Amino acid sequence: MTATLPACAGIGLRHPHYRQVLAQQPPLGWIELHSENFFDGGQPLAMLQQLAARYPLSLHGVGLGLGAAARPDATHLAALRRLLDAVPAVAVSEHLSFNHDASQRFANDLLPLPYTRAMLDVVAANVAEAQDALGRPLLIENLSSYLAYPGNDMHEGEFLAGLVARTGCGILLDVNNLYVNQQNLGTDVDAFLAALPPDAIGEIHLAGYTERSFDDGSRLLVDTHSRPVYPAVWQLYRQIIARFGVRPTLIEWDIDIPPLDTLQAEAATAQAILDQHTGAAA
Amino acid sequence: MNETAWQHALLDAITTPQWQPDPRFAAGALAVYRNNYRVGLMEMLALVYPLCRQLLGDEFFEALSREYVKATPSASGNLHRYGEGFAGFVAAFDHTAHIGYLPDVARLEWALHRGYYAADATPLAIDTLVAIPQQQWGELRFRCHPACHVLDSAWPLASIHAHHQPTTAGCAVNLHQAQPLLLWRNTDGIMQLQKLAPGQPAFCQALLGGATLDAASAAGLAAWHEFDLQSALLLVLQHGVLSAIKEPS
Repeated sequence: MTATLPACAGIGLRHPHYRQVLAQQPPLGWIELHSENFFDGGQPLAMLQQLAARYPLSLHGVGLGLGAAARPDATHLAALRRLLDAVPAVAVSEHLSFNHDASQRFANDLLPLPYTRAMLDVVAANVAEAQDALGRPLLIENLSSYLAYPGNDMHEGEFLAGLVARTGCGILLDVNNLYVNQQNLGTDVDAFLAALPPDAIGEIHLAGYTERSFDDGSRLLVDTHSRPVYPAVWQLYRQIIARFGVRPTLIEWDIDIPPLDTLQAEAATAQAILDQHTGAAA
Repeated sequence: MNETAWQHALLDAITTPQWQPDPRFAAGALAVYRNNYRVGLMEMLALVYPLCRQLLGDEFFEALSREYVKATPSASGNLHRYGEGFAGFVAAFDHTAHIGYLPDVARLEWALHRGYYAADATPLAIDTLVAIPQQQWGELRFRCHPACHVLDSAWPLASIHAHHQPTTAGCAVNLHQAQPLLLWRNTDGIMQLQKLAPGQPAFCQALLGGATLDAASAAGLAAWHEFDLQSALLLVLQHGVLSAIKEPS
């Protein structure tokens, strides 16, 4: 049986804290790092192996673009497979997003995709191809989006459920992304959550957003991972834990990264919510 | 499929240098994606090319990287692959043409960046080589360490590099002294700069390219009449350039 992440709070570990964590080995439930930063070897890989020996490790990809109408990049998949062969990761995740077209032109970002039946066929084939190449199931994360395909015939929750049914992948539920989409695009949070197969949800993400205003008077919440988790997102997280039960939960922070203890304090808040639920359920 | 066309159009709208309003995509959303795209690539260039940035100053480097990003789309989902053509771009860029060594500094930084992340390989043990009868050595070919790279530059790259490191800052640089380099990775995973004697760049280059020891030696001699095979071979063994002996094909 494949190991899974512990159902407690963890932190996204980023460059400013690598050395501190290796030297001090603070108590962290688990850690998540970006896969692409550890292709192909050298000091980065050696450090990741040290971290994996101490903490349950989740590897989070940002570069496969499995939501593209084009197939995933075979070179990228091969590099990820070599990484997984070299490091004992207990979870591997990617986003429900696209980043390239068939001409191998890339935008190194997480771009939204059409949620249609035709697209589901394509993306399910991409996810299956990736899982075959990697020899293990992926957790696929819901996206923060700033625009939507005009011809959608389902919502993102239904699309994710379709992927789970067809490929056996799991779901990484990003609560901040869901909240940002509700605010930006009017996503129906209840309908989204109702569509998800509860057993497939293997991990939860929490992060902070930034509000941005534009010349035409419009505003967007941008998923910057640059702030503490907002109260409204904590509230939604409580509802999600009450609904689905405890899940491994990650604090993500990628820009203006604060001291490690700030991340640990955010993780402690998530842990308290998980503990509350466990206490209430007992 | 309409979905394919939509993704294609969105990629166009994000990556095209000149902003063009597109009725299919809300202006605010497109502004966020366009900004993410540019900032992400420019930050990667700043990470890979710190020495070029120091040489040019923050403001000029930022302007230069903005121009590079306009001219150079990303070709990989792995951001660490972005910026390979920066040296060539700098060489052809009017406003940096007067800094002759800048393209080679960029080549050095790209090789250091790729070498740092390159796959691991065990260095060839000298005993392995010694166990083979010496008269067969000439026909040997080697698998080399993926982090190794030769820069046969006409500029004093090692001195320029040292001049801008915190521990050796301000050391003298004689711009008229060529310093061909072997870049290699030590056991701590740190990239190192080793100055090469005449003939050695050609010799190392040939070995990295898969030539036999005889052919590499001939390349060294062709480049420098006093090329010394023994010291060159010792140098590549000591710096872990050779990783394994290739089976004869």
